[in-house]
Amino acid sequence: MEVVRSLIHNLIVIVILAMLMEMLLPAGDMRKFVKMVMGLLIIVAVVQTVGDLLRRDYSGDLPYLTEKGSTAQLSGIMEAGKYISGEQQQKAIEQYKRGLANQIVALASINKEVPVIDAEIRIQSGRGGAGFGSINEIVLVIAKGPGRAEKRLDKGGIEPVTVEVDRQLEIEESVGNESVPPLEAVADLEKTVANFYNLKPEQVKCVYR
Amino acid sequence: MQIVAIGLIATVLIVVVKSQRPELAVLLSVAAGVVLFLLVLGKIGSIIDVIKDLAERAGISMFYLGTILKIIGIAYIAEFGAQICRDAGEGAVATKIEFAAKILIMVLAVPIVVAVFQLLLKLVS
Repeated sequence: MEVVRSLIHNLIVIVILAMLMEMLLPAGDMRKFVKMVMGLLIIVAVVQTVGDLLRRDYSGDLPYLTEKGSTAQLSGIMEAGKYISGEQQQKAIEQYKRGLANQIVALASINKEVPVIDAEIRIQSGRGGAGFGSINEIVLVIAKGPGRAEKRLDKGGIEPVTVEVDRQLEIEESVGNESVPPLEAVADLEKTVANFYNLKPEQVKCVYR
Repeated sequence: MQIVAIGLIATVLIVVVKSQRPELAVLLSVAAGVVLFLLVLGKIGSIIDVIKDLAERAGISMFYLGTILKIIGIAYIAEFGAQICRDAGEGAVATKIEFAAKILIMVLAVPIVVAVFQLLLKLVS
């Protein structure tokens, strides 16, 4: 009884739809062409409804009717999913890099001789690759030590000015030569970081800023 | 009311201008047609919504409905264009526009025709 009721309901809706669409048709020579296509649509709708009643699936015979739209929708959803997943992955990689950089700076701060101010991490970010997420390279940013003249300014206060013509040249030279940490200490630090992250020594580099 | 007024004014203008400048009369006719179309364009949306709702209730795919609406649109545009051409005295061009529209309608209808054909064959076998 319920099935018959559903069939009649669907048929009524189809008839109303057909009537509405017929009202939309243009008057003139084109009318009969559009009417023919609409007639086909009504046939499809009625057969579908009757097919539902007989519990037969005609969707396989009507690929254009049922498949195409849903496929287009599905591909849209898949595209959106890929985009969101890519964006999330990018964010995760950024966070991972930031965390690693903080770890490395903390590790390097144990060595007081080499003032590491930042670390740049290069990670293998190719999706689906075997080594995805592994560290390619670590670049340690080491601060150049301030020159003598800058040190004096850092202490604050103003020293009395004494004009010494011979010393002037010496001060200018010292400003140009900023102090760099000892090379042995830097090499030690590179080795420590490389060992800590199980990397080859050439994968850890230092730059001075 | 607005639509009728615009139509009447356009008709009077076209009749007056036609004897002196027939080419201007055609332009006036086109302009009047465009203005009238734009005036009712907003109201077509509500009709389409109702049709979509009914199609969903009847279980008809939006692909079919979209095809039918495209066909109706093509028919209307071709009809308007052909009428303008006929008004300008170019019956041959009007016939060609209608011919092109018929071909386009048949092309759009091909998937539906094939689907129905297959369905009927399956029902018979």
